[in-house]
Amino acid sequence: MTRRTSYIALHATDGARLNIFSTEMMQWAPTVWLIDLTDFRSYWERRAEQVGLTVLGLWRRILLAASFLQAAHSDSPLKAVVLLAAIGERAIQGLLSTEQGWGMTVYDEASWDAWWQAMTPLGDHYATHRVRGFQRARFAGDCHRFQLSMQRLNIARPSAMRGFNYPACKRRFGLAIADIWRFLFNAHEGLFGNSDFPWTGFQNPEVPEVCRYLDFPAQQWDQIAGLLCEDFDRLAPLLRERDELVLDLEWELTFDAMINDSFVALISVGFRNPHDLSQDRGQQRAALAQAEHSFGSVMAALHEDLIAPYPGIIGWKIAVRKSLHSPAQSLSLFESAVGETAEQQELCKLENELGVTLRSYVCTNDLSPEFSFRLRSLSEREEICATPESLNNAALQRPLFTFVQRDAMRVKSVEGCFTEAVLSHWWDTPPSAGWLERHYYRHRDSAGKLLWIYRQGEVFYRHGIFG
Amino acid sequence: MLLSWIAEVTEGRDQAPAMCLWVNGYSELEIYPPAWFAHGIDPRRLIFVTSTQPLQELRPVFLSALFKLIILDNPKQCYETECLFLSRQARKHHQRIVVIRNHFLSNQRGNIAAAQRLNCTREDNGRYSLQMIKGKP
Repeated sequence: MTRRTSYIALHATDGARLNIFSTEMMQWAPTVWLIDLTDFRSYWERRAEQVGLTVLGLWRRILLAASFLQAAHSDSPLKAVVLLAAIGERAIQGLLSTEQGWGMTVYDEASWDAWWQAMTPLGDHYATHRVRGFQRARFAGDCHRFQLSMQRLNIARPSAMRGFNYPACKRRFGLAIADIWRFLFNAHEGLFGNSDFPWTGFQNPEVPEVCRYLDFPAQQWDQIAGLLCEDFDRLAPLLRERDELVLDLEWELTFDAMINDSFVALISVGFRNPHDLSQDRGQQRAALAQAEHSFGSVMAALHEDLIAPYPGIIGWKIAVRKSLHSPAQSLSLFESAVGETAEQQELCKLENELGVTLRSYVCTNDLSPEFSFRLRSLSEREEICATPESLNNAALQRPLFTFVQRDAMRVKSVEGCFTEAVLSHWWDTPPSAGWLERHYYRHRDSAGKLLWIYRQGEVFYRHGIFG
Repeated sequence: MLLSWIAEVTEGRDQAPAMCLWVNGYSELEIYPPAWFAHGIDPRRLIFVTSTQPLQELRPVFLSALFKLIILDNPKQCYETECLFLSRQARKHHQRIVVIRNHFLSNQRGNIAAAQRLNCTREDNGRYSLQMIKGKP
């Protein structure tokens, strides 16, 4: 399953208050910032659904409320900065996206000036990341050669590069220009994606934190749980002042090693959904549950490494590592929201308190076992369409459980019956990606277990188990 | 039998639809959801989680009244005190908690926490038979 990437580029002088949409930000140029929304897209889609808007419509309103007049959205960071430059060139206001027709038109009509304006900082980012084989002088030379070629070929707009291909770009203009082409025109292809984009995450230097120094060394969770709850309560108003919901806390424990110097252990207290500490004041159930889970694993690892007497905890510091800024203006958008059902709210709250993941699934209209279902967000309110009868009938012939690891097995003769033949998505995967055709059987093995096995070529694999 | 029960609870045939939780205790196995939903289960109300130690890892779940039916499939450990805790929570929150174990139950060693105990076996002809050990069928 490929992830749907999402980036917003906008003009700002400081990144401290840019965590409105996501915790991942990057300074592209002195006044241009990039926000990576990939991990937060489903969260925003859910919020948009609550207020009856599209996700782009909601982002547009929030940006306007936060006084960001020009912003660009795309599936690739480089596309977003090019679109932002094109928006600036045409003095358009608002959020434009390459997912929409108007945004795509502006992107396609971007001039070479806007394109080069967007590309100029790329050399600096490549140099910062020490990308293998990158040399600033050679990059400048490649850019110059590329610029001349475009003039000679009379290519009026950068969008005409869509007809190029990666190997040709690499051969003629060098690796860096070929990578630019890939980020701009081939980012959605799973082969490379944006994974090697020179992304430099922004760390806000001013984060709320609280410290505690204990009067006695503590080793057990019960000794520290009450104090930790007090500290989360102390942290809550600090986050409230900044209108922030927490996603990840860094809990730095200081141990007294008695013989050696004191040492610290870092524990991450993470939340799956943005969490408001002030709503849980006095109890802090979700934060304590996550902290206890991480604390248990750290202490177990520590006890494995050290010899008794084990060191005691003499203090700690809790700092907010990742948080989402919810300005009052944008929160007011949700006042008239239809709201999640009580069950969905309870589920999200429960999920934050658990160390393991709750999963909800929904069927898709696909016969292939791997693609016949998808994970569903716990608070997704989308109506579920009825599964076609033919797919339901196929699913009834399949087992309730499948093996995590599909091992090859030796089958002299199938003790059971043939059930179905399934073709892979051969039209959108390269032939080297894997299988093409599978023949499924019910097979009872020597231990009497009824297995769901398939033959791929001449080899049998166990896929699932009945009963 | 369990699938039709889950379908009944999630679809709310007699009562209001309710949430169900299936706790998969087999780390080597994962759920194949379409086969479950083909039995009439409402996908919105059946939540899955993989945990071999549900009493430790899923404590907040048992303290909440959200799930009206919880099925613990092959939990690694479930001591008497833990069974009593589950029984108390089930009574308190009007829940049904089913513990499936991969072995034969006998009357020699009882379980005071369970309202019903039964053995499910597959016969040679492929049919399943149920034998009540405790409680009414």
